[in-house]
Order: sequence, then structure tokens, then C-alpha cells
Amino acid sequence: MILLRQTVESCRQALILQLRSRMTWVLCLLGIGLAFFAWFLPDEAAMEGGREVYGISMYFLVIQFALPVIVLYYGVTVLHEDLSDATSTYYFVRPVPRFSLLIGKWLAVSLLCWAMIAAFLGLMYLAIAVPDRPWRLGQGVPAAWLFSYLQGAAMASPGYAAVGLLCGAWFKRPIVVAAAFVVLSELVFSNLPAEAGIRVATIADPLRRWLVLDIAPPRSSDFYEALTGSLQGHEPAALGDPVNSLLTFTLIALGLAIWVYSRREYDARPKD
Amino acid sequence: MIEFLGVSKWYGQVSALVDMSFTVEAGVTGLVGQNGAGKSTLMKLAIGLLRPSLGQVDVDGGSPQTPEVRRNLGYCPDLDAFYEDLNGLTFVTWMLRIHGYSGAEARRRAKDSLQRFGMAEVMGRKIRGYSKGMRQRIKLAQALAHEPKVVFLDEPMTGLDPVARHQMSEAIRELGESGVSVMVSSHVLHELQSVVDRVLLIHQGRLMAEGTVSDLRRQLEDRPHRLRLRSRNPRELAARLTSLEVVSGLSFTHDGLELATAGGDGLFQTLTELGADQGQLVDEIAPVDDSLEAVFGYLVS
Repeated sequence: MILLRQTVESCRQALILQLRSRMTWVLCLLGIGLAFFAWFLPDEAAMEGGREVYGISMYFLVIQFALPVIVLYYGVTVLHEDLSDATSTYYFVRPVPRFSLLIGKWLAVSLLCWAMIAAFLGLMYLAIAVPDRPWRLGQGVPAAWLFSYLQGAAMASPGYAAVGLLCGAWFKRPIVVAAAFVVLSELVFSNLPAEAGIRVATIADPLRRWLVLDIAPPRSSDFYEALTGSLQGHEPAALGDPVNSLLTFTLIALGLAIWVYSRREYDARPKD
Repeated sequence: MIEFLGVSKWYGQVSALVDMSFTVEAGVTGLVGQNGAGKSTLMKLAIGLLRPSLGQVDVDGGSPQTPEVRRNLGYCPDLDAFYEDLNGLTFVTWMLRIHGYSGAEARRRAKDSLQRFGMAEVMGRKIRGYSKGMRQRIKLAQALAHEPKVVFLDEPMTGLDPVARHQMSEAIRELGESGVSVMVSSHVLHELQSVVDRVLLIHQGRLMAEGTVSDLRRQLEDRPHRLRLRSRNPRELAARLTSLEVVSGLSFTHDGLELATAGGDGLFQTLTELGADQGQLVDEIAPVDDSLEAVFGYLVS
């Protein structure tokens, strides 16, 4: 029971610290600003792209870019800042197992980042889909797409957070390693030919396949092409269960992060 | 109780501590050594932040890596690291909540501890605005708020003004008298001397000596001593002392002489005679090098 309380406390403290950070407020203002500009989306764009304006822009801007970058950044900093400035010392001498501290931070990063991404997805939906626009074929953007993106972000956030924490616990320059992960894993490996088994060892590939299955855009649409281009004609459902892949990836990354964080000796020295 | 049994610690090819064995009972024990001697490494081994390469560390009957031992352990680090945007009360409360206390109990203990160290008026202010002394007291408050049985204080006097230093010394002494095992390191040796019951002297990762300050000084009887002699007529006094074989050096001070001697009872008898009988040439005799600093200087030289 006390272990649960300490884990929740670790999560609460990490959340408060992140909510107080300047970066969080900068990102929130940036999101609100983007949504404000999206409100003035020209009617011509809606006429030409129809519902795909929202689908494609959110896929590339949020799922492919903002989600991994933001969650990895928070995952790295929530751990590495404490380790590098020695505030971890106060925690490591307390009667709390390090895995409790780490799981608390992981929950905090996953929750906070998902909340920020969800708020942005919601704002963009309000800005793009809700105004009375002359949509092609009279179709607006279905609310189900928003919910699919919210679910997708909720499934991917814990995975990226675990990778961020692993980098923060393991490496001296975790931001560089996290950036390498985004480039190598999320951009290169996830776009290898569908036969490449390493694709399942990424977050981007299973997340993309899950979105295709959940949103089910028309096969002739640009949106479908954007989501399945790298599959080279393979059926997303034939490449395995994306939820299993995401879950396995997340658990392995989190397990590794706990192992590294719990085993490491801690010898903070003055930075002079 | 803190027990080191044949503890060595290496960083690759570099040995930080070599074959350390000692036991620390209740009371205040000073940890003395130059920069790089291994004081911080020793403390980090004792609180479980580091693991020994060889040997065994026991604190309060168990490994400091275990939560059971850590429950009764307090640590005041030497590093000046905080969450700067928190206030002092919140910071200490957070540490107690992580320790396992409920919110209300953690807050009550945090307030009590901060009040004990004179932080009652400023505990609501952000740590960013605290002076060095206040920050030091916050570290001490978080280390003692849960009433630990074993306390490690790494350079706790650093940055404190004289009044605060005195208060800190009193607090440390009270802790020792209450049955807590306290290990305290400091480079301000004369302050440590007034607080500690025992001393561990370490140099280049090795334990050079342990015991009370006077015990250690007695071990050095064959070393030259230095005495400060206050006199109204230092020239006359110097003339008489230079003829003595046991006097190996003399220098004038603003109110008398400083004398180096190889020791011997004969010198003290002569000095007593000079002070009492022969024109009262000596007003006061005081040892210069009976301090912890002098003992340490002798041992490492």
C-alpha cells in the first residue's frame, strides 16, 4: 500500500514540476496559436481537400512529429534533470524503491503529454471541422476521427515516455540519443519494406496500422495513401496486431528503463 | 551504528577508498580529510548511493540499499540542489511524502523541522530567494524531519554565518546526545572539533587514524610541539630559552613568543619557574598544535 502511495506521490510531484515548467506553457500557447490560425482556414482548402484537411494535417503534424518529439523531450528531462543537478539524491536516500519513482514519473509524462496533445487535437478539430465550411461532397470531419487520434495518442504516449526515460536514465547526452531514436526508428525503420521485421520494433509503424484500421479512410483517398504508402500494397491487418506490438514495445522499454535506473550507482558531483 | 568492513571502492583503475574498516557508535563522529581524500565517497557508500567494490557496509544492522535501513537514515548533501520554484515548506513536505508519510503528517513534521532551524518566518518563500544559510538549513530540515537514527551531514556548516554556525553546532551536539549516530564532515576543522566525540582521519582513500582528538594527539607525542608563551618581556624570555636543548625553535609574536620543542618534562618545569619565580617572565602557556587541524597536518605530512 505504501508502495502505491509513493508511486502516486512521485507521479504527483513530477506532474506539478512539469506543469510549472516554462516549456509546458510555451507549448500550450503554441498549440492555441496554431488552432487560432486554423480557424481562418480558407474555404477553398475545405472544398479541395475535404475531410482530409484535418486527417492528413493532424497525422503529419501531431502523430508523426509533435507526439514523439514532445513526449520524448519530457521523458528525457523529467529524469535527466534530476540526475544531473543532483536533486535525485534526496529521493535515492528515502525508503522508496527506484522503480516506484520511475513508474511515477512515467505515468506523469504519459498523462501530461497525452493531455497536451489531446487538447491540441480537440482545438484543431474545433477550428477546422466545426465552422460551417463548404466541405467537398458535403462531408464534414467526423468526430470519430478525433477520437481515433485521441486513442492513438493515448496508446503511443506511454511508449515514447518509456523510451525517453530509458534515454534519461542511461545516457549522458539523452536528448541526442532520443533524437537519433526519432530519426532512425520512427522515420527510417518504420518506413522500411513491409517485410522488414524491425518495423514492429518501432512505435510509428504499429500506430499507423492501428489508425488505418480504426479510421478506415476510403482506399482511394489521399489520407489512405498517406497512412499506408510504406506498406507497398500489404494489408495493415495482415502484419500483426498493432496493439500487441505497441504494448510489447512499451513494456520492454519501460522494463529496460527500470533496470538501468535501479541498478545505477549515483555519484553526483559539483559542476565546478 | 555504522560499520565498514574492509571496504574498498574503485572507479576503473582509480582507487577512491582502500580497505576501510571502522565502527561508528551513537554520538557525533567527524570525518576529516582534504579535498579528494574520499570523504564524499565514504558517505555515499554509507547511505547506499554507491556500492563497495570490495567489503561490506552495514548501517543500523543492514545494508543501506534496503528501504528498511533507509527509513531510519537522514542525509544532508553537500551539493546545493533544489527545486528552486518550490517554497521551503513544500520541498520538505514532498520529501516526507516520498518517505511514506501521509500529506497531513508530512506537513506537520516539515513545519516542526523548519521551525526548529529558525525557518518559520520564511518557509513560505520560494527557495530561489533563500540565502546560502537558509538553503543549508532546508537541507538539514529535510534530513532530520523524520527523526532518523543515523544521520550523515556532508559539510553542513558551509555558507552559514557565525550565529547560524553556532546554532548548527548546537543542533548536531544535541543529536549526538540524544543517541543518534551522526557522521559529519567539514573542512572547517576547528568547528568540527567543538562538536565531535570522535574523528576519522582519511587521506588519499585510506583511514589514517581514528579516536578522540586528544587520543590522536597523544599518539603523536614524539612529534615536535609548538607552544605560545605570552610574556611582558619576550626578549629576556627568549634569551633564557635559547640555552635549553629541548627548544628547537623560537619566533616572536605580538604578545610573546612561539616555541617549538621536542618535548620533555624539563621544559615545562623551566617554564613554570620562569613564570612563577624569575621575574614572572611567562604570563600564559598555550599549546598551538593541539587542534584537530594540527593533528591532521602532522598525519598527512
